[in-house]
Amino acid sequence: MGKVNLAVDIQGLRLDNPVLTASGTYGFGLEYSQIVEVCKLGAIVTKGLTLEPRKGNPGKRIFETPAGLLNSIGLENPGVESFIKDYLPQVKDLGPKIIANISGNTIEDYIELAERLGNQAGIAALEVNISCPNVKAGGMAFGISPQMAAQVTKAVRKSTTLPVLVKLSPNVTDITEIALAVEEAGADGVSLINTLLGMAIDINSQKPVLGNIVGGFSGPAVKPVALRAVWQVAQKVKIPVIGMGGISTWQDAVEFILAGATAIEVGTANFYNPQAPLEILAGIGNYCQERGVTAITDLIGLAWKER
Amino acid sequence: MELVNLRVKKQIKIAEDQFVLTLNSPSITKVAQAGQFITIKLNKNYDPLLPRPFSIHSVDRETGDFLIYYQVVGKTSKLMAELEPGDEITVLGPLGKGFNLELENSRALLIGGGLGQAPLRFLAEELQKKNNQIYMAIGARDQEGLKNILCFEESCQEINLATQDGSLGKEGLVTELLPQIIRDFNPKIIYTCGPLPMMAKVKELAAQEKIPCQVSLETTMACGIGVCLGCTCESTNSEIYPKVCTHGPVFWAQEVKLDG
Ligand SMILES: Cc1cc2nc3c(=O)[nH]c(=O)nc-3n(C[C@H](O)[C@H](O)[C@H](O)COP(=O)(O)OP(=O)(O)OC[C@H]3O[C@@H](n4cnc5c(N)ncnc54)[C@H](O)[C@@H]3O)c2cc1C
Ligand SMILES: Cc1cc2nc3c(=O)[nH]c(=O)nc-3n(C[C@H](O)[C@H](O)[C@H](O)COP(=O)(O)O)c2cc1C
Ligand code: FES
Repeated sequence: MGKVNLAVDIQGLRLDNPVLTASGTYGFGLEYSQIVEVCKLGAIVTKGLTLEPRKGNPGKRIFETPAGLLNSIGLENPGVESFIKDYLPQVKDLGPKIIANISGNTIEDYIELAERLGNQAGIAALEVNISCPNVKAGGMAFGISPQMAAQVTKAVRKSTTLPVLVKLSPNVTDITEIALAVEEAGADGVSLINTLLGMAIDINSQKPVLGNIVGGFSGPAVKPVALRAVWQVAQKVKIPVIGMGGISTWQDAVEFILAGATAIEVGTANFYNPQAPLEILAGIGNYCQERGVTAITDLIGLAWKER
Repeated sequence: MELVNLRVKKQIKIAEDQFVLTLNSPSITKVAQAGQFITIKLNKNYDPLLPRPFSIHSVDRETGDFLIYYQVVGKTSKLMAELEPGDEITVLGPLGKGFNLELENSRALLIGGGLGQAPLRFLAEELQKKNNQIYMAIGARDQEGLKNILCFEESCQEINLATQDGSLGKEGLVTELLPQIIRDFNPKIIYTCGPLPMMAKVKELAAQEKIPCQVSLETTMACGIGVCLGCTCESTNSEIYPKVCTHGPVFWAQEVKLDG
């Protein structure tokens, strides 16, 4: 039997395969390139970039719960200028397409970030984070209102010719409402889910564990929630959906694709299994081969599409 | 740094809830530096989820063996205690920045509290190779916490002990021994690893005597390689929060805040 075609196209963002690494869990790809064949990845999504450098949140930033991880990093990053000058020259030689994840406090921030990154060789697309639970201003504020989500999307869309993905928060009543709003505003795709808002309390000190009190919850524990969100959104929008949330194995990834994801991102799993993205890639290929599926795109949404 | 599956070579119970694990990896031992650590993930299960960091206790560069000295405190360490020879675990390392080893033909004071002793054996062995005299001071809650001290005998010239319950050595905190030791031994550098209040006191004493001092810090870690940005501590001279996994775990004492 012939080789399975794993390539996917997200409105002009052509990827050799649908396995990406999620923002904030892969840095800029340089560290993991020492132990993982990162060149095989479909794409690397960068740590969330802001206009100015950000030092992140004080106090304890990570805490493990059963099958899950709470984080309150607070978007620590060197800022877009340093990224372009100090990291991008190396990062763009890693091999995979680079998707820049951006976060702003105001619409103007997002516009400036899109303009700065839009004309950089080596950036293949933007992933607009309107769903970070760890910063006070902006971030998630844009992601919980369909009007504001649409405004940000429209503004970024106008400021760049790169494909624009909008990353959605699960911390909303109806995620499909936000997805439809950003589609209408010109998004080329939606990425979901960002982390769920959570917390933990230290029973000895009787105080919240995290310095920021609340944090973003990720890892295997969130997978059913993420899968449900992808299932709902993929049936409502026409643009591609990039699914993530707890994906650790190829079986998880196949579930997301069957739920309607065109591509998937591996996040927290990198921490406990740096080989997870490549194991997932191989596993997806075998799954298709065994079932006589010649193109991965034939699997997208099969769980709900009428056959 | 490498990511490898290693088979447990040996496991010894040192005391109640304390073990020394022997692993073998010639490539890791070859490049490992005193003060560096590895992370251990026992299996593919999701609880515990993340790999856990452990200092390299000692290396044998001829056989490729290296040791981990650990205490059972929670999920992973409890499962580690059940490891038997031949069991496979996943190791990432060596990681982080180790101790400064410029000292030669001189005198070093090493101060360990509790399992903070773990990285000091490797350090003492490296310092001894450079012809240094090494003075060791170890504190623990009780004598159970001092069951591994024989491992320091070959490399250290003198070992002073303190227990909080007085069951072995001086009754009280190890830091209470220090003014006298510093006066008698006149160390050119001090290294310490242990609970934060202990290291804070050591830092204060070292600063008073104007002796350079290095501390080895612990924080919760997710990735161990500088990616998640979760393992922060506080700097005394920079706005940026240093990452214990890459900027440390060893820092010059005056670089970091130790007040918790
Ligand atoms: C660089 C570095 C080097 C290290 N070297 C060593 C070494 O050489 N030897 C060694 O023994 N250790 C070492 N440690 C510490 C070691 O990493 C930890 O002991 C280990 O991660 C514990 O993992 P665990 O799964 O066994 O415990 P966990 O299950 O993760 O539990 C950790 C602790 O948190 C407590 N806890 C969990 N939830 C709560 C809550 N809600 N409220 C209050 N408390 C809670 C648990 O009771 C337990 O005491 C090192 C750490 C670092 C960072
Ligand atoms: C430590 C950490 C940092 C993260 N940082 C970002 C970020 O900067 N921008 C962003 O859009 N998402 C960020 N995320 C969210 C992930 O990209 C992903 O959406 C989420 O963790 C769910 O996927 P997972 O369960 O596979 O990790 C972060 C997640 C973690 C665990
Ligand atoms: S543990 Fe991830 S940055 Fe240190």
